[in-house]
Amino acid sequence: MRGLRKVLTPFAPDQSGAESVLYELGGIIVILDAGGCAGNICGFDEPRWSSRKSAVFSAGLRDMDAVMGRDRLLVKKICRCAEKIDARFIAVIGTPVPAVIGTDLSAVKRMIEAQISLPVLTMATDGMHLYDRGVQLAYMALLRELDRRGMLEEPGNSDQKPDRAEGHANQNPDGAARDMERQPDGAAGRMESAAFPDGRRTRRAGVFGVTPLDLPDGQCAELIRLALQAEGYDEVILYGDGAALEDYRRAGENDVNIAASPDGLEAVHFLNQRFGTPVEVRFPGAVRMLERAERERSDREKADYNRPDCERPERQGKSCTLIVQSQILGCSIREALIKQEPGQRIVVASWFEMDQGLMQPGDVRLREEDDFTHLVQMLKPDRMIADRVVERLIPAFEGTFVHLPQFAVSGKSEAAV
Amino acid sequence: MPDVRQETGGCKTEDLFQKGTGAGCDAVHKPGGCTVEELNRLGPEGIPEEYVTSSHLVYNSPATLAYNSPGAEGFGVKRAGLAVPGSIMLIVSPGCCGRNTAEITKIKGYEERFFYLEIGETDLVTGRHLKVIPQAVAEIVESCRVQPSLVMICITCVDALLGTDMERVARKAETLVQIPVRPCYMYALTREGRRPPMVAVRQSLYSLLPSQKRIRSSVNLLGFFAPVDPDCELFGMLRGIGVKTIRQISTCENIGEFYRMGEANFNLVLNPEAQDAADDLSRRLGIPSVALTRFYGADRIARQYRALSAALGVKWSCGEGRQEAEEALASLKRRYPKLVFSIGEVVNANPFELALALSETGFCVREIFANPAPEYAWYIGRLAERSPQTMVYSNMEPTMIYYDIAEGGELPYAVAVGKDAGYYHPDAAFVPWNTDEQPFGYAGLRRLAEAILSSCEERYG
Repeated sequence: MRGLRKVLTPFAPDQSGAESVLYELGGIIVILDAGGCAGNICGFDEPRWSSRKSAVFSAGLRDMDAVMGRDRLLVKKICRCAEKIDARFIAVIGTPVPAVIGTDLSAVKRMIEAQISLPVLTMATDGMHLYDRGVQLAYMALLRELDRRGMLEEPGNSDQKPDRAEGHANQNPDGAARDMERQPDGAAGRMESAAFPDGRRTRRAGVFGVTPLDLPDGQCAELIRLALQAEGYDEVILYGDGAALEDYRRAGENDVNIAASPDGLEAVHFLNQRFGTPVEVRFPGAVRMLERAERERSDREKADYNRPDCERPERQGKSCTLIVQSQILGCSIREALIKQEPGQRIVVASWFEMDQGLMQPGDVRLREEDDFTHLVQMLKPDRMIADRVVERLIPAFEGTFVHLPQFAVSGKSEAAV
Repeated sequence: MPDVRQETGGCKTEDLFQKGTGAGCDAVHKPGGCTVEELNRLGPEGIPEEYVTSSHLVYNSPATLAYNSPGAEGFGVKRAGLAVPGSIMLIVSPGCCGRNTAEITKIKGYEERFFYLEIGETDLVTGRHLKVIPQAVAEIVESCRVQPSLVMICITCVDALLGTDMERVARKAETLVQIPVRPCYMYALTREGRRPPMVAVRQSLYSLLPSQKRIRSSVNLLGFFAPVDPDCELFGMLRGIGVKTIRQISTCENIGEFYRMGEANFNLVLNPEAQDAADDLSRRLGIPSVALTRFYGADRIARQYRALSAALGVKWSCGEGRQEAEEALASLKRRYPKLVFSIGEVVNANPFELALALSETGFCVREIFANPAPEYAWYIGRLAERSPQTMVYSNMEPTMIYYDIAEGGELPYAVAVGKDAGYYHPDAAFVPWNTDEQPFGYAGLRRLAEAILSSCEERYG
């Protein structure tokens, strides 16, 4: 039955995705809800919530607000909050309640902007779509707002602009190698663009589609950084994980913008069209992530094989691997596996948006639990790379299961344990 | 309302976007709050807007999550809706409403009891999801290894706005599966209304009790979804007056036993959120009820028991319970005479009454993290006499983002009671006081004193 879930809990919704992009940018984030959605977002979908403060608020809508459409009260609450809280912008994130009552978010934006000078971003999320749509909406709302205000740095305007033609950066006047900017709450900040003492310019890579909801777990951001540094990038900006507002302003100046998830595609293409910034579509460090997951599986299995009743049958014939992950991560893993062992069949499936251009024959967008079970019955894969929560849907699966967590699915990075 | 554009000193929007309002403006960097003395002076009619959640944005402090989401923590609607043994729940909602249920499924006994029917935009416009609910119920009942005793259909804010008649849909589903099907409403929108979700879920559950012959020696305790502390003197006192069976929803082993709650001679309502359900039972089954309040002040507990004995026309003695509680409190006071308390609202207590009780014992209460309500005026009045400088903060007020959580900078002998107070004071002796098992009466007071003593010994030696 369409929409019926007997095993899996619902995946991260669009409102969580939007919040995930904006969490660290120093704005007042207003979840336009009665309280439950904000609780779900902060308490479940936002792993940074307990360790790093951010001004995330619930609009605290009540039945009469919804019935009477009291947008003026909402605007009053937001403006009053802006009087007290240090903020760079106001973001209003939709939920099912404004979607049902038809709140005009553009009007809310204009009403707020008429009263205060802070820029206002609105995202028409509705809790009925998945997180990736929210991530995409938030990236674009932010970039468009910066662009509209002429605040996106044009390549060539900045003193610290990397020279793509030569691949070098200008000499930093004080000669400092790198400068760690501290966030107001004391959390470690981003790496400031700078030059090396020998005059060599820094090479900077921006990665979109890497919010905590996009990544398998908390350690993956570091793996991405390391992978790109190994490729020769001195500075790696993860948009959605550690990037500051200033990094968005300079996103057009990056040497390359990489979309690591389909929700980052629109942003990197926008920057490409706007500034000509080169685009790559791949998940840096995907191989390392798979190796780590394989190691964990192997450790677990070693323990299992010591048990006499746990012998795996050897399978015959052409091997087939099913990867159920975010599409670009899945594709990057496939590419690496095929390099290792050409000719094997690898199918990438995803519960989330898939880019048609990246899909290969046999790749599948999953929507229902039954889609997944039917796919497994049809493919009969020897190996599956997916979040462990789907294992309960296929109790008869006899192949090798490599647990690669997907936070937006299971909601817990410790699922890797 | 002041114009923030003036407040920001005419800063350009682009500058604010880069630097923030705090860079050149008067953003307040401290949490707002009043002393108990100020609150008492303002009176129940003059409670400042900072404490009225409908008048400001609600800060999503880690301290307040449990109160921001009716399904988030403890016994929210989702967990409470499964209070009947052997029941399962179908959550019919947009995906976002069921997202955090994974947390509850980790709790023992809830692993395979939640199912979801996700609704989308078209469903909301056409209402087609309502047509498939009975079929969905049939499908999940069929997929269960053991036949469920009851199916709860949980619906959320969107159906509140659409005015969905879920009673009717539940009846249709019931006809199809031949087991009871009941709706429960996780309407966060109505949290401060006449029938908040936690009131409605109790009404929904107790509406299942069938009419049956009343038994004089049977009594129900209504109010909690987890058992009352079995050490509570209330059990002994009831048995002393001839009560043989004391039932609570949480201790019923099967649905048959739950149904027998309908035979009770009277209901004791231990949580005001169960009063509407008790009133329903009074109207429908003729079971009268008596409301009791959870106190931590020994005199207040004694007065309440005296009033109850008068209402029931019986005599009982609970001097022993009081003596034990007072001894535990005295022992704590002897060992740690200078404790300084911060009291949160995520506790099994009314934080204002608890603050008063501790203050009456001679302890210092530095602050309370809770919203004062007009009905707490009596406690606030007494507290203003004993501890006028006690600060009262609203967990949900936006400026609480600036509450200074100074790790390592704690006062000597600080004690944080409640999960929220513990968040603000990570170095204090921490007493969560938020267990599922419910403290009540003198036994509750004794256990609290013991828990504080134990935490202080652990923290301060």
